[in-house]
Amino acid sequence: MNLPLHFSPQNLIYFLIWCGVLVYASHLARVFREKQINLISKWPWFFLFSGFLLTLGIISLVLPAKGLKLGLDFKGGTLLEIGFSKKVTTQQVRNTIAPIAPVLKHALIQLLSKPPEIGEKNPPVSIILIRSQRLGKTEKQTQKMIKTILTTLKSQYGAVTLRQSKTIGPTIGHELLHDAVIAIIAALIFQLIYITLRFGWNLRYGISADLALIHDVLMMVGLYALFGKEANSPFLAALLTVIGYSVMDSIVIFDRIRENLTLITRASFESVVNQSVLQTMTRSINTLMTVLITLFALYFFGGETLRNFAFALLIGVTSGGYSSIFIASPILVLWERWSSKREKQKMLSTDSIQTNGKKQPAAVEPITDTENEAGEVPLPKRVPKRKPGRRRS
Amino acid sequence: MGFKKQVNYYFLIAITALIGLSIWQLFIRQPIRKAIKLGLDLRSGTHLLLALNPPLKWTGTKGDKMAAAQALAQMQQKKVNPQILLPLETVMAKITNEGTVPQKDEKNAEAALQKLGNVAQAQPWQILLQKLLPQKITLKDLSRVKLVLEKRINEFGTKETMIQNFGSSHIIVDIPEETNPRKAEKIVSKTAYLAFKELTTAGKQYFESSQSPPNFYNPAMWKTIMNGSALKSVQVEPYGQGQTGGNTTQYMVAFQLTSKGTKLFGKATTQNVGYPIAIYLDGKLISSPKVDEPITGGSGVIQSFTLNKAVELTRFLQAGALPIPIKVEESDVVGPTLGHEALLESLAAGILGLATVILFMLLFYRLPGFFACLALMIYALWLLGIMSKFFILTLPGIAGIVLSIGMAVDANILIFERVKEELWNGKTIPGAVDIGFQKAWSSILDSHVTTIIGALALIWKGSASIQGFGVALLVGTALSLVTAWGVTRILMDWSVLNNITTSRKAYGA
Repeated sequence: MNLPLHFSPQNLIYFLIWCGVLVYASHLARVFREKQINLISKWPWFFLFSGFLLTLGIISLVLPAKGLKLGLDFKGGTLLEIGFSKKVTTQQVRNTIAPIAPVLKHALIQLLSKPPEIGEKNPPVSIILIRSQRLGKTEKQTQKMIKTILTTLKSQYGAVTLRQSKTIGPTIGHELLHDAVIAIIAALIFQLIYITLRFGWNLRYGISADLALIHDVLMMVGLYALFGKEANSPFLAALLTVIGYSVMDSIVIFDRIRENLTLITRASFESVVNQSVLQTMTRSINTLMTVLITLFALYFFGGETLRNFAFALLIGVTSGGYSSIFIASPILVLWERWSSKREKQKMLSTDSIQTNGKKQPAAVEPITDTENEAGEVPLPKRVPKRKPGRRRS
Repeated sequence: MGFKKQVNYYFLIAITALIGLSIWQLFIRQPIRKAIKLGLDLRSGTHLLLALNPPLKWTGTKGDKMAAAQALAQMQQKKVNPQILLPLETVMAKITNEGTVPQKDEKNAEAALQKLGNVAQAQPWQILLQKLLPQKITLKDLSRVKLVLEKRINEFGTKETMIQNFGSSHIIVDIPEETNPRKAEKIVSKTAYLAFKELTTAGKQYFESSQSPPNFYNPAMWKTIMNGSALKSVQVEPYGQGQTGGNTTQYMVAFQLTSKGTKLFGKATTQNVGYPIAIYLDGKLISSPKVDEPITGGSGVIQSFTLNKAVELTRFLQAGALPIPIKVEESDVVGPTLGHEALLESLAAGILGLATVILFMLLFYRLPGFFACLALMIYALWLLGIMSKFFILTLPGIAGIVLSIGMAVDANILIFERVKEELWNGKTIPGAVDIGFQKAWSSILDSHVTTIIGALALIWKGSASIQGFGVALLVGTALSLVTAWGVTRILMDWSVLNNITTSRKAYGA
């Protein structure tokens, strides 16, 4: 058992630090709610933050030198079949060839049990199958690389023979990607229909959730490109997971908004949204926390293979939780503002020509004042009774 | 506010039964090592190298063909051995009808020519065979073959198959868990080309004069109506129930045709009332029913098989025929790519992660947190039980399960936060639990149903591996719903009913 490899004190400390950060975030959610902070009104900052990261990501996606690094599953590569005159394990071979080139770190290495070919002299004791990304840009470089690998292996394990070497195609080809995109679009359309139906024929809830989702997907792809991580089939799985998670997370907030809209009729839409966000924030962050804790554990202790998968999910899930609070909800409010402005202008332009439409929205503005009395569930005894219970122990 | 709810005992029994079933599936029926199927990254499987064998393309002139046809007619008059004639006739018919000849047929014709020896008629045929040239395999061909192979291996019950191009005319297939290369070869190499044929004019004349169908393999007597691509769906049905008194040993394959297939089949059966039609699989006759009346409804049956044969045939037909025949060049058993250490390592990481989550749940939500942990244990047990029955677990798949446990916490947190809020609002413990559940339920339902809709769309539109993900998502989400409503709710109700504690703090307030 090689367990201690990734269970180093250093990783343990990182893990604990991140757990601490998460607990602090959960605490912040409580403080925000107690202080009734108007989060929604700070939307320009959130949009700026997301916009900054997204631009960075998109730039690194578009830059020819960077771009999303597609791995063996998407791009194919080289297959080598090597015969050994000694018994070897896949772990040994991996350790031997990994330092030669970075692409070999992520290579698939397997032991092949094959009956000896007829007439073959000195059949090898063990045969190893190596599948890696393209070893060189040109055929010449690839051949040179193969030679280096063979000589390195020879120096370690004695006589080796190259039995086969060939170019292999991707396991996730164009059709599969095409199918995936179609399936995702179908999923989004049906989710949109369901959300629209559940939210009283109001299209904006579904669209806001989907915009937040697109934000998350772009964030994942963009940051993956920015950090130069290699995308393989686990990355696709992570993308699909985040798509499920992101919409789920937005729906919970929207559900609360829907409920509060029927309960609180005096307050403006913006303050209802803000209330709902604050009320669901502890839940959002605590859920996020449990998911992220598992992901951090997988990232720090799960070994090389899981590290990439966990990284993709860490970005995606964090972005999913963030976007449902700080992107989807403000979009909802901005949309409402915009459409009521338009309605007013329409009414004004048809009713009288004198009034200046631009001054009109100011009448809807004093939201912050109504905020505190708007409250959550309008139970009269709520305020005095809640306070003693909320003293933190 | 009174707490009127009773613990629903039927539900309790159902849940206990589910738990028992999962334990039985995972631990008792077979040891857990066998119960959970692992992907190629963690356990051995079969590695196949397949070569595409595209049919040969006819590139000769009309004159070449005419000369060969004349030579053939002379031989037919001379009554040359039909064993020599048949392969030549087949090649001639294929060139006339399709412009291509399968490599196998070309080889048969070559062998026939050798038997024929050095006669005058052999020369135009040698020229003809030389002008049958191998076709170039395009990337599109490769991907079409790959799609059928993936579907087919899925039909036969193995998921997570790895299929990739190898060079420009080969395909590698890696099938996890399958350590019998012969069986894998059989599934992969079958072309599964289904053909429906009717009699030609000559064939009809022959049938009228002799009252028995002509040689089924004579290309002059039979012509193709349609092939397997005309099928929309197929299924196995028992056959001849009435005659054998309910004790059926014979089965048939019932098929439903596409709209195009319905038209073709309707037209052909209208023209062939009273005549037989013939159904072939990979060129071999499997059935030759007589047409009693026109079939225009677009459905029919192929009879009759043993159950195993019928099931096998439907599986092949469901996945469709290989557009290009293939040959298995190598088939070996391969070891896992990651192996035991990786599995142990990620399992340890997963356990550490879950343990930390449990700790947090206990600290944040106290008594309900404890219930949630119990609920999650049950959730994990169910999930593994179902997974082990239907899925092959790869390392990322295992990580996915660990993650879905983290996500299933969500429903519980929603409930507990709501209960906490109600407690802050001054409700009694029973009242808060009751209302909290009710209010949280709408959010839980909406968020889960949205995810389930997404999963269904992935299953509906995606290709095999995306479908697999969709099914896993569907199972995980549905189970999370059941756990929140069944397990967490029952535990909370039980604790309230029995007055386990009157401390509001214990409920997180």
